[in-house]
Amino acid sequence: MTNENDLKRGRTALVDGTSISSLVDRDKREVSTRLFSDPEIYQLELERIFAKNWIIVGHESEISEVGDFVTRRLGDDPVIVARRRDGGIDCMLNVCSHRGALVCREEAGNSSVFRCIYHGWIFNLDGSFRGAPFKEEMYPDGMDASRLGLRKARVGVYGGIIFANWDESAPSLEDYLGDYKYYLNLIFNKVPNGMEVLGPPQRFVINANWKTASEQFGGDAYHAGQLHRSLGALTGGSPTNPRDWQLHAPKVSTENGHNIICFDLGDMYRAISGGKELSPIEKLHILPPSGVPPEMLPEMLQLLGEKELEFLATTPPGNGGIFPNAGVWNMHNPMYNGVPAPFLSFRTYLPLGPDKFEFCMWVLVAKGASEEYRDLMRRSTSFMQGASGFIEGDDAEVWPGQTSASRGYIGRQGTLKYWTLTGEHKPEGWPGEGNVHAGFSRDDPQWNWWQRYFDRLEEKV
Amino acid sequence: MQPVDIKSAAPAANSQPPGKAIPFGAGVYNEAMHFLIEEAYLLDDGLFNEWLGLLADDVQCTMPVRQSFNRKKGNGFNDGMNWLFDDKGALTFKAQRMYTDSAFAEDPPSRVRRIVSNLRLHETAVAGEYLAQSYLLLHRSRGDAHQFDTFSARRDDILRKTDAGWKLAKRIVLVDQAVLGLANLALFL
Ligand code: FES
Ligand SMILES: [Fe+2]
Repeated sequence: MTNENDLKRGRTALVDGTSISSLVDRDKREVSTRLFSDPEIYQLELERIFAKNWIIVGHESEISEVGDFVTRRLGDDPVIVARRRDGGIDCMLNVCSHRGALVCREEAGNSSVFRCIYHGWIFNLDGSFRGAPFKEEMYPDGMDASRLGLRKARVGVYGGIIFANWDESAPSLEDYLGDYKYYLNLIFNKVPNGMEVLGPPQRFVINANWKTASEQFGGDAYHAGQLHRSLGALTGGSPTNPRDWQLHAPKVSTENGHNIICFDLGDMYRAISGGKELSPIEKLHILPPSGVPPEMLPEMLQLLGEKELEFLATTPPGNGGIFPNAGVWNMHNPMYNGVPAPFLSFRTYLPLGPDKFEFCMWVLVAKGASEEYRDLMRRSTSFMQGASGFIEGDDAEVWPGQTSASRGYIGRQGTLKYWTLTGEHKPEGWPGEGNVHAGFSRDDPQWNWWQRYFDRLEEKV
Repeated sequence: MQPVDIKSAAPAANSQPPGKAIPFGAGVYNEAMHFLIEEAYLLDDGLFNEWLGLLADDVQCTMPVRQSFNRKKGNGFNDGMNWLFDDKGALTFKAQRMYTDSAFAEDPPSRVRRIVSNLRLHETAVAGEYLAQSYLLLHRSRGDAHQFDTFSARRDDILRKTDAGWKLAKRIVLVDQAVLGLANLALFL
């Protein structure tokens, strides 16, 4: 049997003769719109992006007990993510090694084994083959259990977030995240016991290519003042003042295509204090970072160093993308009554074909947060984020248009533009790593995202 | 993480079991049904300010996420995570946003048809408050798409009869989908 991957490896052109490298102009910084709907490119993405990078499949707190599992997708493959007896986490293909039935059909649960409903083959929590009905009569020559386990992906956990990767030769998750870890730490590792999810994720389907949302989370600060103009009613933001839309906030891009916008809280604190200068600790008391209830603030103050606390009080990591298909959202926004409320979520944009993706969003709080604080998070999320959030509802209006418009013969000959760069400017005393783009917010991180995307699609890395 | 099993959302809606059933055709039944029909009309026709007039000041609208489980584990609702968790302030902001020129998710507006039926009405421990369980089937036609987006749910409402007419005091939307087929919930359920 030939390995399909061997046939594909090294392929540099699509069937119509278009070379993959011609879909991007690295000098002009333009990307072909064809990428938003082409079925052939989608198949290449499954092979070269989703089977080779670290992809988010869940959060540790979803499977805290031995035997806890959730079923998810990794690329477009169904997987089971389960807590082993030794406390480790496995991610395995949810496809029976016998005749390909779905092994586990529940979305979540607790179990000691997984039994396929078709003929009854049984697999252990770690995916290894355990047994089959009528084993002696059916397989008198014996069964080679070592060949019959569920196929397993590598698993890595960072900041409580579970990542999986099919590629045995890929770098470790730690290396993959690299300089980005500094920022993730200040979002997800800022309290000693870490974060937990409020519950299972919101999951909803949008008729758009997964990259429309992913590249937007790759650092598109530019759209907020227009598409999210409704926010101005709450923030007093004027459509003509770039500061009101954080377009002066430093952005960071790191190797492997990750990015984060570090929101400048200066104006907000000045408004709160009436212009009086506040110390970082005073600021953090006024508005504890998202996910940290006021009563848990002392734990955070004790855990983090002075530099980190100052960073959180001035330009905390806010909104960003984890390559290839995930985003984090960590910030405060005023609610309808003008009072700033915390938001903390991560989300993945799961491919469901070239013109469809599933939006999957988890909301987090510090482990042990009070029910009152959880309610606040539920309220702020429902108001602004996810399917019912008035901000993200407007995003979901744009992405399907980008996708369907790229199907036309003429439309797919167009390009997406990333002409304008801020360049690398690291403010003095900036404590974090990565390429810092301080100055008017331009296309740097999104262009970084696309470059990594093409490095992968062209198999340069 | 164990799901919260809302076998019937009625206790959650009112913190106590439903009282006496009110029969189909009774005067108060007709009033409650009329309220729900009128509400659907206001929303379908984009009369959001008028719709806000139907909400009690203490209204709470929630919609727990739902997962697909084996039957013996219950109906899969999880109280921890929600699709909706809005009070009157949030609903007012969202409804009034519809009159601005930046509510892009619903402008141009979807053509929406809310079919409300199967009302089961019960008294509650509070005089003048009724538990109204109804079915909602919603068709949304968006842009030039020829397929409808559909949404279906049971809604467990607390309806309050006041001097100023009937008001919606509480709504729990018990959705039928584990994965929602709507790109956003920029409409009211
Ligand atoms: S397909 Fe699973 S046991 Fe046969
Ligand atoms: Fe957006």
